[in-house]
Amino acid sequence: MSMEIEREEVRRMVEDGAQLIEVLPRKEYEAEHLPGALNIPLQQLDRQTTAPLQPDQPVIVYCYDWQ
Amino acid sequence: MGFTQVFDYVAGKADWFANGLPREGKRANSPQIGDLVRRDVPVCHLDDRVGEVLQRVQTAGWDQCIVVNSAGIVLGLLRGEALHAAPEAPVALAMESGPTTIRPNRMPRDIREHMRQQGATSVVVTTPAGQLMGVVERQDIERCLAPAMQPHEGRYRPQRGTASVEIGYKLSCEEHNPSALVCYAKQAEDAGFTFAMLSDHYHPWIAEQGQSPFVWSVIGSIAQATERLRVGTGVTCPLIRMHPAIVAQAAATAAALLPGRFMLGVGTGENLNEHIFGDYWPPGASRRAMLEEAVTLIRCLWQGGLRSHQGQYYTVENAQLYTLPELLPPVLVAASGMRSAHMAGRLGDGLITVGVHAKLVDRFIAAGGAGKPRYTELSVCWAPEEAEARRLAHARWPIAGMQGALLSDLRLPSHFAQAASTITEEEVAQAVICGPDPARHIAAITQAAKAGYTHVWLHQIGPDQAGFFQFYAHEVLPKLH
Repeated sequence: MSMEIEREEVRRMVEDGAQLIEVLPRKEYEAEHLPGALNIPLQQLDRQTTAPLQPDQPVIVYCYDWQ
Repeated sequence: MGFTQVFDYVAGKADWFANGLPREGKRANSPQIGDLVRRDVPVCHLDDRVGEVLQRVQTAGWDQCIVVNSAGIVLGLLRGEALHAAPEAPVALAMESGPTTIRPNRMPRDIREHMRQQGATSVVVTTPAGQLMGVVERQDIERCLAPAMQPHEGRYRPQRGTASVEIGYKLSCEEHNPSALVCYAKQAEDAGFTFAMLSDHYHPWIAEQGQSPFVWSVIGSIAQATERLRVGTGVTCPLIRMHPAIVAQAAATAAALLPGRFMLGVGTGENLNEHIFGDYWPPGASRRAMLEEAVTLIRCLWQGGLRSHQGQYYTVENAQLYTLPELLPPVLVAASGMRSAHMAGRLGDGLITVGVHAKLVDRFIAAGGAGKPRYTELSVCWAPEEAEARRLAHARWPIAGMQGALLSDLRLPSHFAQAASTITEEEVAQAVICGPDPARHIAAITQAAKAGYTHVWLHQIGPDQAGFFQFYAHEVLPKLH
């Protein structure tokens, strides 16, 4: 279960070490993304692709918008 | 998957970019519509009266108003005849419903084509949820894409890390008399410099520098003496000593005399020059707010027509510029700290700094400066011997060793002389490239390019401008191209 957060909270949490994950396709990620974000396309989100993440640090996922 | 703290930033990167925050990736340096948005467009609500709205719109120097609901969602547009008819009517009856809106991530080139086809002069920009961000004007898009903003095709590399920059020359108004400045402008053009920037002072920093002519007169003469050289103020302060409405007129006249080759560089000024009428010297935050209003007012007057403005700092009543250039000049905004760099990204058509500051460039880009030119001034002192160059730099330009509030807040050349007495030759030599070794000059310019600057101009300290031109024309410029 994830909790919805807004922009200012994202900024604060990233400063505190949260991990940013863009779940859009690689091409869209390569065009532009939030500073420091990693790319794990939604279809590839599994135990293996998330292995490099720190399980004890917060994870923030985002796509283009809510649509 | 074992994560205990998972959060969803539902508004996503559309929201992030719409708010001018930093971005990474292949397109991060390309300007988008969001970078060109004018956020100060007036807004009104459905039950406002048209007459009241008209008054607000005119006071703000606009010709349209965006109708929004309490959540900021765009409902309509009030402009043209509808804005002037039936002052007692509610906005709901007069507005155009459901105007065309675009998202901030669109590319300026695509939107320009669409606007040209539709004959539109502006378009409303909203977030994907329909909340108003502002409007983008076609002239801003044209300026962003125009050759005047990117006159160095093939050499202009907005991406960080390349050594291709355009090289300019500083016309140091503190050190040279006006006739010499005009002569040096011509020599700079002949030596291969593509642009020149003039400082604008009332007093020199220290009495030993000896001069301080009225910059706008000098620019007029340079316009007649040169053919290709682009010329800019580097920088003028349109806040206290010069009212922004007068700077708007001066710059419009300069741009008319230098078609397509004038740039208006502006900054928040120094007490050294701005105190002369006995005005209070405001703190930095106030001066940044004044500059923002001044630039908005200047751009408003450049639109032509009869304009009035009642702002926080400036009032203009029924002013009209009758001499306007065919191509409006870009407004380059000076920054010495992160807050002014942020403002420059939002407000300016380009950035101006002194020295190499990658973080300022980053902040400028993040705040809306992606794709816009980044200028910086480097001080050098060429002389046949390095020891002579160091001595001269220390004697003529000790302010190279000063930083922060000293530069902006001291009142008189004699105060700068007192402050300068504590600065050593070594401290100045750290900040100035001294001597005849071309490798050191090239390295400094390359370092600026790597920090993200697209334009570097050189300030040759001291009287020997001829020696500097010869040195750069033969030993520096050919190795940079």
